[in-house]
Amino acid sequence: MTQPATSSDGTSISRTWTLASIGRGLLRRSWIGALVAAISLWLLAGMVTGTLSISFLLANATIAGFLALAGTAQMSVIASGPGNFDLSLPYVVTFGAYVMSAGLLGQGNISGSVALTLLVGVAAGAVNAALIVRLRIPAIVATLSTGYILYSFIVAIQSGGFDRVGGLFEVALRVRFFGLSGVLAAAALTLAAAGFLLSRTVFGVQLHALGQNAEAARLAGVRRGWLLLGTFVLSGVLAAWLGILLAVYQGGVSADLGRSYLLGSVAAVVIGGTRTIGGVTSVIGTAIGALVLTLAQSDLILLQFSIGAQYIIQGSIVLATVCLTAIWSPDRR
Amino acid sequence: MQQNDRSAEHPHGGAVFISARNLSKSFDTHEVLRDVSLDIRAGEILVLLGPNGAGKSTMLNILGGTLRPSSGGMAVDGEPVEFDQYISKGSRARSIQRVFQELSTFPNLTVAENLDLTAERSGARSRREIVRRAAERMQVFPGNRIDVCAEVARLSVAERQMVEIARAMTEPNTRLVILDEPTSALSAHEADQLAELVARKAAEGVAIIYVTHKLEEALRLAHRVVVLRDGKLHFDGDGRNLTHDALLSLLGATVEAPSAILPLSIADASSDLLSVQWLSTGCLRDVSIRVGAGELVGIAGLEGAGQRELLQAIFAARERDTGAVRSVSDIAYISGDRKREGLLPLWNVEDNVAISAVPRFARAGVVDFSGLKARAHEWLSELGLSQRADSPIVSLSGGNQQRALLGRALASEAPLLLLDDPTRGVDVKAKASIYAILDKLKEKGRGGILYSTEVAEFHKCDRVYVMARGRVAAEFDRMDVTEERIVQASFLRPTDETPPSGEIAPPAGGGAREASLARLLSWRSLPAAVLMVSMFALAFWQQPNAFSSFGLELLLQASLPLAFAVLAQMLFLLGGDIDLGLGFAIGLANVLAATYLVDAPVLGILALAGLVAGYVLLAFVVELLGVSSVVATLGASFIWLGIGLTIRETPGGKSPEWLSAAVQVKLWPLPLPCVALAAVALLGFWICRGWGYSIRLRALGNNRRTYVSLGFSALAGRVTLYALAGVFAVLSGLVLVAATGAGNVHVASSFTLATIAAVVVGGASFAGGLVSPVGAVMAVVAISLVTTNLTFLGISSEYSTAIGGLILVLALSFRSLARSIEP
Repeated sequence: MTQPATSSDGTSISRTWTLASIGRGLLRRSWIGALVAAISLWLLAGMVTGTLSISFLLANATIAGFLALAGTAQMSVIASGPGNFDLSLPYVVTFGAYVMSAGLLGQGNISGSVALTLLVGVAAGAVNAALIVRLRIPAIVATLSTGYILYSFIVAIQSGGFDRVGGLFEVALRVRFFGLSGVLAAAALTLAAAGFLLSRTVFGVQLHALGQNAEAARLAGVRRGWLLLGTFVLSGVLAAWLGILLAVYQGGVSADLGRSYLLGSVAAVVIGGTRTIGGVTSVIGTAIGALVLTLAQSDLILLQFSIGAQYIIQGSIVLATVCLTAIWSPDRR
Repeated sequence: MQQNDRSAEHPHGGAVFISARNLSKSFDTHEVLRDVSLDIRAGEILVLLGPNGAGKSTMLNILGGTLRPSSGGMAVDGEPVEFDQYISKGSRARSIQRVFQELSTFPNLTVAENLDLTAERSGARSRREIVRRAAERMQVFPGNRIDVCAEVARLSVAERQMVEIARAMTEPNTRLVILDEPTSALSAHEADQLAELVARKAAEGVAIIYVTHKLEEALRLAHRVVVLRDGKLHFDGDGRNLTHDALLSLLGATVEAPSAILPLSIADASSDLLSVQWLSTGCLRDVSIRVGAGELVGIAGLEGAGQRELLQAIFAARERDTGAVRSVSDIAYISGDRKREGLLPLWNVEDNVAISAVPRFARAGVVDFSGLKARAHEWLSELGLSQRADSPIVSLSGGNQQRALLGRALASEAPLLLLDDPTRGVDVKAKASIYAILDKLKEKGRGGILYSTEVAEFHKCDRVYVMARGRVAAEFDRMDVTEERIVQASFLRPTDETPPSGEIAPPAGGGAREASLARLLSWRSLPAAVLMVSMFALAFWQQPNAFSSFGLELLLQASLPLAFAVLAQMLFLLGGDIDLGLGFAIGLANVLAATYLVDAPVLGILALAGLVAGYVLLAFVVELLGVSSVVATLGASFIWLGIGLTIRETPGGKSPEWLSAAVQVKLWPLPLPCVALAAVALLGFWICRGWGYSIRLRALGNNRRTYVSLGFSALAGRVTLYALAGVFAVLSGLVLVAATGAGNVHVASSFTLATIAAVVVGGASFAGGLVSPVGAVMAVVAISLVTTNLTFLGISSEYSTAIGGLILVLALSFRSLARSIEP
């Protein structure tokens, strides 16, 4: 099995390492377009401000890191089968942030809070999977209902008092080495771990098989129920972890915290060049897609576009990439 | 080629309708049809015979206009055919009707709707007329008990086949009917009726092509017999003087030399890989079989006698002790239906083979890719596929794909292999190599069960069980296996057979009440109705004075915008899609109306029309590019939001007076919202049920591929659905302006998810093509009453979303429960 997770056009990359084939291999990567877009956007920002700034890039990367976490969570669910989406994701993010800030296990107990929040993510994923597998509810409806129920938990917990989560954890996330923030490093490490899980483990390989053809995967010995449980738990944990990072890094929580991550997560996956047909993932692509979205927004602010224009351009980017990816893929209907 | 064609005397054949000359067709390098010439005459019953993979389907696809030949030509009524034109014409325009082996009726439509779908349309027809005509057309099977108002999903396979045949046979202006294995599910009585029908149609001058594996049918019906073998025309001649044996030899059944006989592997029961005892599930009755180590066991019988179900039951029972099935825990399943049950289409050959070995090559869940790769190369060279290891699996020929899938079974190292028609559609050479691989597996002590539709395949087996109607009808040792014996046993009718459960007459007493209860339980909108009634009851109990015209108006006012929005979402679900941008689209409509309709009405109307045009554009993107509707509408939602914010960053504007006045209209005795909600529900009902086009739209939502193959435009359907959805989004935005008196792009952001919830609670199925507008509107009313009731009870209305989520889960649980109770 040759790393199905990173060869997102589905075919294995040639392994004869001539220079030409490396070039071709790179060109065949689904995220190459996104990479070019990201670099162009960075150069554009440089032109507008007059200096090509690494710290501008890193500042954007920090924001993009958050989005990439949400995107990777969404991508795992999308990979598990055509038509699968996790609509509960923004609610898990927000609820996770609240649980983290609420200090239910004592204000100073940060590791306890982190563990509890991650457990919330596990539970949300498990409920989603149970609804899908046991009650045979389509993923999009199951995650919608879980999201609704979580929203009420948010309302319930909202009225409690909140303190800033401080201590070493906050310091660690806010520390900067040459512009590289601790929170970006944390996000990057998480993405690397998710990438490893998706490409190098039995779970990851079987998830890709399931997403391509569920019946064929079943007959090849893949257990759908357990895999879906794993997928949605992974998505839930990533979303909860994102909630933790946001709560600590931003130093405050609001009920709207996760809202933008529903659209944003799908947009990051799509702009990263990953097709939403199931059985395809690319953590690198999603990370670059998130960077493109963030850089585009920064550039538009630099160019003094209104908030409305920013949304219009972001939407057009999403629609354009998804159309182009569809046109270039061989097996469209 | 043998030929005793006497073209001078065709007592049955009239004028030549279609004449095909030198047709050839290859897929990749695999030539499936070679140089076939054939005349099809009016009034002649042409029986087309040939072993599986002989090229029959390809031939029919070319004649029927769904496939272009690689070379060769065709003439219809003497006029040469331009294939591009011929294919784009649609089957009705070609006057050709085809009954497919895989059923092509739409399960979500009723029998009458299915029949009407393809009927020549002469103006709008009322529902009563559609039902009357359907009942009339079903009379080709006299005395059948098919309810033409029942959804096809509720019919048995035989009944569906009858519907399909009746459709093809009663279509006016038909000149050629192609019947592909039409009797595979029919009873003897129904098959007799069909034979009469075919003869009658031929006498009327319709040309018939009849494909069958049942030789007695061929002998009984054929005016002319055509045999295809290996893609070539092997025989074309008079069918009335042929005998059973002559047909068999034409099919080459006895030509194949028996292979060398290996000594029978002697295995006692203790070393059995599998033993099945008295297994009865679904269509299986008291099945008992066993497989020893190193044994290949055949499961023969007519198609659909329970063979596949048996294999699936054995596979499902692995690692679980179900009592009836005892087996080794590791079983590999190889299906001949490669596309649906075998291929992982995005991967290359190597990965497709290695997938089953991944768990064995892992430590603590981490895969040892280098070890796996090295081993995979051994398997591939064993299969002779090492050259193609890196090729995408879909680029291989059918035979090589099947070998790769066999390789997957090798890789799993499972001691027991279930072979589900593994040689379907592969050529002779690939077949031989597949059997060579099986021989090797047997030598290694692995066992297998082989199910095949071709009797000739069983000569490799150590033992053959013949199944008939879900039972094992006979068992032969390899010494006793002959094709004749297998065929004869396939037709055995078990003596103690009880009629299948579907045909049991309903009990006389108490049946009516049970039936109406069952109908109530199967009513898809039941959860929504129960919910709405109980919410009303709760509201009136809390606030008795709400039970007044004014009170009702207050209660229902809030649900009106959502009701229009729900219709928009429902239209998306009708087509099997979802609109995740609906909330912002309504917000945009709201902003446009509040900003322009007062000061510049023309601009306002144009802008609202532009929004609808945006939806049409989305239909093009989804339909032509195959982009997921979720992603497309999500992208669009950014744009709706952006335009809305550009026009009006903060809430403002005002409602046109006429609009505000319209929603203030008092319709005594019922308040306006009551009437309006009922009207919305009825309008939705009309769009989904009453409108002539709605049958097509529902068909499209259920199965796009079949819909297109019937010659309808999926693009037109999708554009209609999206445009209508856009119109309802605009209406919802207008009602919101009237209610709030201002424009705000965020006003409806909660509608996106709320509408999905309401449509689903109301009774929609995500499979597409199944929605209930009345249920959806009831769900909207119920959901908005939840909020009101919470206020009455003094609970924060924020909790209404949680209750909405719970309602959703409960409604869906109830439905999956009701589904499992239904017979």
